[in-house]
Amino acid sequence: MSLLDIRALGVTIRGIPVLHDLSLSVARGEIVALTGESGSGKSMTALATIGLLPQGAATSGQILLDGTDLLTLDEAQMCARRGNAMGMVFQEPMTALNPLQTIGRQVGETLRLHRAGETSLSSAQADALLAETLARVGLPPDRVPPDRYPHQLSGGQRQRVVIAMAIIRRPALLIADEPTTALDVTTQARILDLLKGLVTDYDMGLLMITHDLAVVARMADRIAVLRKGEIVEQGAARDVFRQAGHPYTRALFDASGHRATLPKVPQRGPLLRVQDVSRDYPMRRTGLFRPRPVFQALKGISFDIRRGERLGLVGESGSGKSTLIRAILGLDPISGGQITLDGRPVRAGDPATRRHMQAVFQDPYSSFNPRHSVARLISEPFHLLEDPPTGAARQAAIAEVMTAVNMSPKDAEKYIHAFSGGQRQRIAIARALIIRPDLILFDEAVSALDVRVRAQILDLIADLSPRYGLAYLFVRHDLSVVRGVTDRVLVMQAGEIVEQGPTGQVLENPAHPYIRELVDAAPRLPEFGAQALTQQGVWDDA
Amino acid sequence: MWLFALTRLTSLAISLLVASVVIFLVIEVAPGDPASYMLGLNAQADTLAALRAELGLDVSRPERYVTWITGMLSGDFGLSYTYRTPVSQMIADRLWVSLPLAVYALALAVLIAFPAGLFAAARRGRAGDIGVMASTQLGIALPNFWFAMLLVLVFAIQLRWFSAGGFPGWESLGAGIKALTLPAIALALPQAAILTRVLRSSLLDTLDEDYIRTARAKGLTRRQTLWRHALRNAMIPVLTIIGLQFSFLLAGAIIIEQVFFLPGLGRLIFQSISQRDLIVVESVVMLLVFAVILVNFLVDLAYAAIDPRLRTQR
Amino acid sequence: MRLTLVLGAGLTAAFLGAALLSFLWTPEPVSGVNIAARLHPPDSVNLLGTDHFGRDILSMIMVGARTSLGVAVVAVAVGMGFGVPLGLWAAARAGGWLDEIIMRGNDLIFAFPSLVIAILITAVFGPGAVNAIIAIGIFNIPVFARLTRSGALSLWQRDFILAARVSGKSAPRISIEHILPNLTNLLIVQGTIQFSLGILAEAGLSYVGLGAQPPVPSWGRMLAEAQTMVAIAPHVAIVPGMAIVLMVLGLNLLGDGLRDALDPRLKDRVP
Repeated sequence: MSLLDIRALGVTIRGIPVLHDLSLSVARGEIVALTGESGSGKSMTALATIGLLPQGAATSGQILLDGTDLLTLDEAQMCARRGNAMGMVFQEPMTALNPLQTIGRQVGETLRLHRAGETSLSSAQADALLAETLARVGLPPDRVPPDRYPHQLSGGQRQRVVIAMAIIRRPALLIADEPTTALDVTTQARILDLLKGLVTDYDMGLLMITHDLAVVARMADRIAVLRKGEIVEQGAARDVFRQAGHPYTRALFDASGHRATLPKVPQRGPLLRVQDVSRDYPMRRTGLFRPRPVFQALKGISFDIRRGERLGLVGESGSGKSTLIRAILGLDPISGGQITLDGRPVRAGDPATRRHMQAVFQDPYSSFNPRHSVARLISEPFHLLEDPPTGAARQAAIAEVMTAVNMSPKDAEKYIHAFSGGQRQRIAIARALIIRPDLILFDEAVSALDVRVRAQILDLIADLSPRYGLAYLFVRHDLSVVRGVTDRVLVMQAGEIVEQGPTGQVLENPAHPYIRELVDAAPRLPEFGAQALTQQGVWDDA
Repeated sequence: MWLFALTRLTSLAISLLVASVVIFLVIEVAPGDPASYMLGLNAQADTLAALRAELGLDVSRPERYVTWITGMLSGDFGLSYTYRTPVSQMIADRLWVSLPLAVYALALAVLIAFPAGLFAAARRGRAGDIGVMASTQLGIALPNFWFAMLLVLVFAIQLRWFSAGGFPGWESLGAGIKALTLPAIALALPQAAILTRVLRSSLLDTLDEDYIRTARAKGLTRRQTLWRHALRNAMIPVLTIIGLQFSFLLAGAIIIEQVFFLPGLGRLIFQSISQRDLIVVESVVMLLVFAVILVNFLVDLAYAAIDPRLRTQR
Repeated sequence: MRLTLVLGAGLTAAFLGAALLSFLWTPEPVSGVNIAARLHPPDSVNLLGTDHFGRDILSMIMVGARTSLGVAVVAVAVGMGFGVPLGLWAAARAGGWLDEIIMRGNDLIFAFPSLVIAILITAVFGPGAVNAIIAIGIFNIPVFARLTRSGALSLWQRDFILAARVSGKSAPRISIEHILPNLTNLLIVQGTIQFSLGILAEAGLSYVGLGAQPPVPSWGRMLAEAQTMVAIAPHVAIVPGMAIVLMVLGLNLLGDGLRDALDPRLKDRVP
């Protein structure tokens, strides 16, 4: 008999159905991945199982844990099972811990809470168990004392604390909701290894929620694909990857492995020159009369982008890539070195150089002023021109860029809330194109998008570059995706460029150990499966 | 922690310094010469000069400021223009009414607000919550001095449980507390309403945090998460409001003292204004501002005691 | 929740209407003294009774509403007029010395309770409605400056501001074109709250004689005059107090209703 057996589960929130007739089982020692795009109801399945659905939710069907239907239990009975018979790990480790309590106390709380009935566990034994569990998740008390507060830990360490809280009672079932999505690639790999090890050691069942098929491929024994609240396909991971039966599953696979076709373009003289650029930030004083320590975000960065060149910039969080982008755009001052565009220095108050440069940002939902029409939004860069077009010429320019990004010119009259994330990113590209810049910076521009939309946007970017004679800098937190859209790639770590070279060469033959680690850490889609994946690449979460 | 306290202490000192300059200048631009006001229109020039010298008015402004400030630091607030008695003594007498009143009212407000706020937050959206929130709306709209008049009407005039005003002094502690009870209630109730609302909304915000969900996933009940995880995190905005309220209560006490004829700082200040005894006004205002800045400093320290993120230096 | 908005708007409109109407018509003139009719309890002639000079209390309340609303409106305008630009300015220079000066200045004003400011001003310039406005208005400045700054700071982090900067727009221009319009909801809600606090403060100042001076009628002074008569004619004290409570209640309900109606979290949600 399965450990967890979800039968015909239906969930509605304030009358709106979010899950329909969902059946799924997890056995002890088994990892089941539930995957799908955002809004498919993955997280709702997890929350329904642990009994923490938002207010206004109604359920039907059964969720059997060891033969007991959880949906029929009252609150007290559920509390007795949460943290005890089943544990849960959440997506965002930065906010998942109480900032005012030490990690030892928070992990120990799970233990104290469920100890009431057991007189056998003395407090010395409880302390020993706490130390053992912390050590098991990679936080040995001698290196990471349990009296630390969450803000003193890194994101990966915090996620380990959350895992420790979930497993300290050795629950039979562990639920993990996108446990590595918020983490860097190298950290992600270690956390995934930890989860896999725990499943084996403690013979737990793991229900893993993730949108990332590469993570699924790396972890799962069985997989279930969810679409709009319904499971469209489930089976052994190996079978599903080899032969996806449902067209939706296949579409997901294709999009995950998608690589835009990058036409060869002649690259002419240098456009952007970044020469020995550094940026220091003063930090908080450590003593009243001590000098302020300085944090070096950029330590002598130098590189060129030639006209028409498509350059990738890869760095994990904290590598300094955001600082570099802001410096190139002339938004933040630099402490040393020089940045020139077409031979002229980039300065904040100088529209002459800046009109040759535009940017597309990560979050399609915060990239637009909600109070302006799309036409006004995308014509904002006209402000950089000395003689911006007006009237019919302005209309024509708007219509042209809207068409260029495969939107209807009529959409320009609407407001931004009428559009989906993918459409918004197209509009953001239209805004960048409208003054015909020579260079566009794509700052994590596809990272917030679902795989299928991401594939379309990548195609669009690859297609626009030769048409508009455009050079671009494609910034990304990992090595995936970069391969399909760039000729050359730079890798940054701790404010320095540690490697640069043609994209294929860097990915296949990295010289620097850090890049090797990045490449190895990134989960891969298996070679078998969807036909498009003829070559093994490095893919990731989005 | 010590660095934190030290930087706050420095900013406290700077605030006090700037505030004292502002108060001094405002009083300085006041029209009229205290000495001629005191002696009337027919004063002799030499008597006037003598009085001016006695009051310390015959030197330059910066000198007067320095004298005033250094005097204050050593507890010497100067001589009242009207009574020629030390201002510090006058203030000390009145402070023993105003300060207990503000503390009494603040304690009452906290005692009412905490149970009410917790009760409402635990019953979010249900009848109990709606009831509490409706009464706080009424409480906030209540002018405290009018509420005080109603209290007098009911409890002093109709029921005769309390006297309608006056203060018997602290010779009998019970009598003193009794005399301050109606004023304290009048001051506390509107503040309790505000505090209840702040506590409730802060608790509800906290209950929406991710770590509350984590705590629930451990097996804590709603009530347990409220007490163990939400309350402490919700305290920071509540502390801010309590700090602000103390200054509000000190000022509010000035008005309430009028209703109950209490011999506190409020009556002293109005009396001094009508007698143009500006040195008393100046000193009382400075004292009130000092109290406000001091309370804010204490609130800052309390933040650091609650939140480890403020304590640790990176 | 809709009920809150309707009730709040209704009460506010009623008092606003009464105040405006009082310019044209009141049931009885408020300047006359009619000792024969003094301290009448409410009846069919004087709906809310008469005061110690025999004046019609309803008429006094209508004219007094003018003072209350006028003082509070101007005080809010003073607070917004200075506070919002300062807050926008501070946010645009966040972390710089200008920001530091503006915020420390705000802290300094906060150290003076509004009543203490009023006392200082009165001590120097004498009592009056204008000085009450200045005292309440000065206290409103840091309230709006802080609110604007914190709202603007979070907006400055948004990508659309970054896009505007990439388009070469200057900080003042971004503040006016992008930041301010996205703060209007916040400011409207805070405006109604400060408005109601202004009415309470004006009543308090008038009560202790620091506000509007006779013969300008004001609710606070009506209460001050009623104090000695509360035992013999309670209505003289109860009616003006009720007026204050209802007016403030109406504004607070209006503020709450507006906040719910304008909540960006409910509005910006993608369909």
